[in-house]
Amino acid sequence: MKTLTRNEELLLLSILNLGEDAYLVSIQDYYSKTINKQIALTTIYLPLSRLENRGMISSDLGEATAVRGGRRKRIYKLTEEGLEALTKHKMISDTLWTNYLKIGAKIK
Amino acid sequence: MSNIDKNRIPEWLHSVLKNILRYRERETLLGDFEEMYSRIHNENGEGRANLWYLYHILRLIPAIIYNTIYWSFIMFKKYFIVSLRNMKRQKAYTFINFFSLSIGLTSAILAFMFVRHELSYDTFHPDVDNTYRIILEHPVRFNQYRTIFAATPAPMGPDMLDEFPEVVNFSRYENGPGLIKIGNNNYDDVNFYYADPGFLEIFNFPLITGDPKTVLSEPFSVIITQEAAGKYFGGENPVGKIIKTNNDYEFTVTGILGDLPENTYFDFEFLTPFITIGRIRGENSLTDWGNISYELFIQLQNGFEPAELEEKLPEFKDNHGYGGNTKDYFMLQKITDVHLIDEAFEIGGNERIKSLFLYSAIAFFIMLIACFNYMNLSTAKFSFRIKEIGIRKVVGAKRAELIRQFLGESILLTMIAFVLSVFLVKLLLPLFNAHIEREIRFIWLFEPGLFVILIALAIFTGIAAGFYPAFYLSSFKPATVLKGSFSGAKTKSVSRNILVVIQYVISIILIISTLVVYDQLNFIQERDPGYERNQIITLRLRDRGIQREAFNNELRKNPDILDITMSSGIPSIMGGANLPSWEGQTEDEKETLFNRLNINDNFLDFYGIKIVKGRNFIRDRETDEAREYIINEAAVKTIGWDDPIGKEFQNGTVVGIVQDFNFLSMKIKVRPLGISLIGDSYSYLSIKITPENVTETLEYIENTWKQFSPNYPFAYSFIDDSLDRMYRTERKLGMSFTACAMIAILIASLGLFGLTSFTIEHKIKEIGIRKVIGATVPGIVYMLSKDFSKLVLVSAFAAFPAAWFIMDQWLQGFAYRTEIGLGIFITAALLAQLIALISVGMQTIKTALMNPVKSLRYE
Repeated sequence: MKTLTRNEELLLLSILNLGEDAYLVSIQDYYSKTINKQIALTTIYLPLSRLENRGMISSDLGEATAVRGGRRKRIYKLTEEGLEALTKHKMISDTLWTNYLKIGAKIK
Repeated sequence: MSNIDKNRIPEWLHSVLKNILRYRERETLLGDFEEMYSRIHNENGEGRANLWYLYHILRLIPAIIYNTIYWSFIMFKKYFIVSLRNMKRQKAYTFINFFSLSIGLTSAILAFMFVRHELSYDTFHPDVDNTYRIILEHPVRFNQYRTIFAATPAPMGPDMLDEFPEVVNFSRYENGPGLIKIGNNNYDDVNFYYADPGFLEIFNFPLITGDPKTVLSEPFSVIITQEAAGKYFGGENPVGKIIKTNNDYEFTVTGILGDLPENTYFDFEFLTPFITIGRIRGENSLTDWGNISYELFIQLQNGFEPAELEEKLPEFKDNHGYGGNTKDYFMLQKITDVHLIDEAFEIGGNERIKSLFLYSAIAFFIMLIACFNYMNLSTAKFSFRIKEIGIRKVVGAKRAELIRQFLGESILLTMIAFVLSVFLVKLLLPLFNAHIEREIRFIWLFEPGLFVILIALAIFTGIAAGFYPAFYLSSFKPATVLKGSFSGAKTKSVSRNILVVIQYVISIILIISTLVVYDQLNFIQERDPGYERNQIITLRLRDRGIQREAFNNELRKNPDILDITMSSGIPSIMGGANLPSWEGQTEDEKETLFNRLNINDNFLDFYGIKIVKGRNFIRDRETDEAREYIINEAAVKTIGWDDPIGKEFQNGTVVGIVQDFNFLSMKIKVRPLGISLIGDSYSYLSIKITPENVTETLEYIENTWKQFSPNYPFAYSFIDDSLDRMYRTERKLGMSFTACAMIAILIASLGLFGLTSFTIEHKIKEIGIRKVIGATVPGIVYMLSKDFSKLVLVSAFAAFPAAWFIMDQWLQGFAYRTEIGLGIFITAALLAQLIALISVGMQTIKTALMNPVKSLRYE
């Protein structure tokens, strides 16, 4: 079972949330907004490459816009594997939280 | 979005990123950067935007590195699998290439290790660059050879230390007695040397026991190597023990040296202080500038050029009353060169350097042949890969990519071949070591420095071999292929033929060289040296006290001993030379070197040496006033007398002339020789025995020896053996050439074999048709082989002049030589042709015999 780092998990979730328009710049914006800290393009570029090489996300060429100098975007999308990894990750967190809340409630 | 133009990234920034990125990411990432840039430009202005851009380019670097590695790895895996698949598909060709490359690499590795080893001699001393040996060039009229000796007068070392500030240390080095006695045991052929205390300082031979400052300060002390300690003292501690030399001088062991490494010129077992010579030969010997016979090593101060010192030496030696020729010139020789150069007496040749060149050159040529095989077979069989190449090009592979793939294949194959060659090296190393008489260890191969170089060599070979096929294979147009009509195969190809010719030229040159060497060796065997060689044993007599007459008489009692004679020199050892004077000698004839021989009156008879004029010595006429001499024909020619008998020679008279005879190597012309009757000094006994009962006769001689000279070990030699030993180098050369010729022609023939099978694969239908029409088996064999035979013939002709030239040069080193006959060339050409025909023939005959139905069945 492939594990995800925090960073990777957040990136995957961002991509999930962005839906059709998940490309480098938009991911960066969303991600930065979510964690309330400015993240640079280059910080997420490498993790995204790694995720793609591992098969968690796939990419396709998207539309070109003028502001990009006529260059196309690379749109990222979660793969089956990526979704699976993400869900498993969430399930584990959920289980642990639930356990805590049950016990914690008692301790408190 | 409105200020699009103003917000564009400046071109120069752009190009930086463009060139760094891989093709795949170029477009999209650049676009992302543009977007961000535009945004920042809007918010914070151009300056900030540019800064941002530059900063983030740097931050991209880890990502770029990662991606490059990752994708290279993927590509590598893909290429690797494709290469392996290709190799499997063409097992035979791959095997030939693999095998040839392996052999080529093996010979390259062996040659490399050998050269490296030779060059490493004496490099481990502390101040190597400033350590020299003093050598002497003696301008003596002597067959036009430079005579170079490693000899100096005894006081030269200390005097140089005194007078020249740039000389910081010195040590003399002299061979001592070869016979020692420890307890009750006598040992012969011991490496006993005299050396100064400076020796241990200049040279890195650490003491295991003993204080380096004192071990060589007292006369008659001696230090011994650990190995020698084991050999002569068993397991006991030798320190404090006594060693006696042949005149009953006693030496006390004061220290033990570590074993000598193999890569050093020095070969001593015992070292004793040089000043001991003063005690043995008289104190005068240490100050005598007239006796020039001691080896001298010096250490210069850093920064001084040897030439500067050399220039001062002529004056220096004259000031000290140098006893030799004033034209003698002293020179400094680097310590690392000492092993490499055969200086000393006789011929000032560079035997060892020559052999280094030779091995390197041969290894190089064998590698060349192997690479050519790869080139030929790869380009030939490219027709099998046309479809693959065509499709790949169509799908979008660039030429560069294809070239990379093919180079990858050749490098992969070479690396696998390298693995095999490492094994081959391990296998062949003992044999190789025995041949070159060194001890190269397999482990050295894995020293990081060397190993890296060898791997680089393998990779380089892969590139060299694969580079031409890579370019060739990637060059043609896919359209032609996929149309289907292109058969692709060129069975005739000029460049391929040229490569084959070069391979065979190299092989034939090697074959011719081998034949010439053996021919010369044979010539030496057959040629009459002017004296009897068979059934004669020689003994070295070192015991001055031995009763010669009685000993001889005792020996003669044995019926198997036919005759005995005594002399100062025997075949292979001509001890003694001098510069004689003679009647009518001119000034510049004064320095002519003659060989000297003292003999018994029956010597000439014993050896069957003919007296052509005059007479032999008469036994009882050996008075000092009327000294008699016999000289050889060469002497007469040198002096130039018409009627030599009766003329004055070296304070005596010439009474006879002998035919020239050659006691030394055939490399040297017979020198003028002056023979006189034995006085008290002679060193060798020659014994002629019958061919029957040799073992018993030897035993008898040994027993008699033990009676008369029990303190001296019995050592004998058969003359034909001694003579053979003189040509050891040549014999080894013959063996080297044989081995290399075989390897070369093996690889070349393998290549030919591959090419033939390729030709056959392509012509298989044509052959089938011809058979049906009515061609005969021989006809087809002829058709298939004729092209290759022509190539071998051309190679032979090309090889002849080169081989002749090379071997002629080699033969110049011999005063007496054989002719390089036409027969040798013809034999070599025929041999090459025969082997080629066998490699070609096996398949052609099989094909020619094949049922045509089989080949024509599938259309």
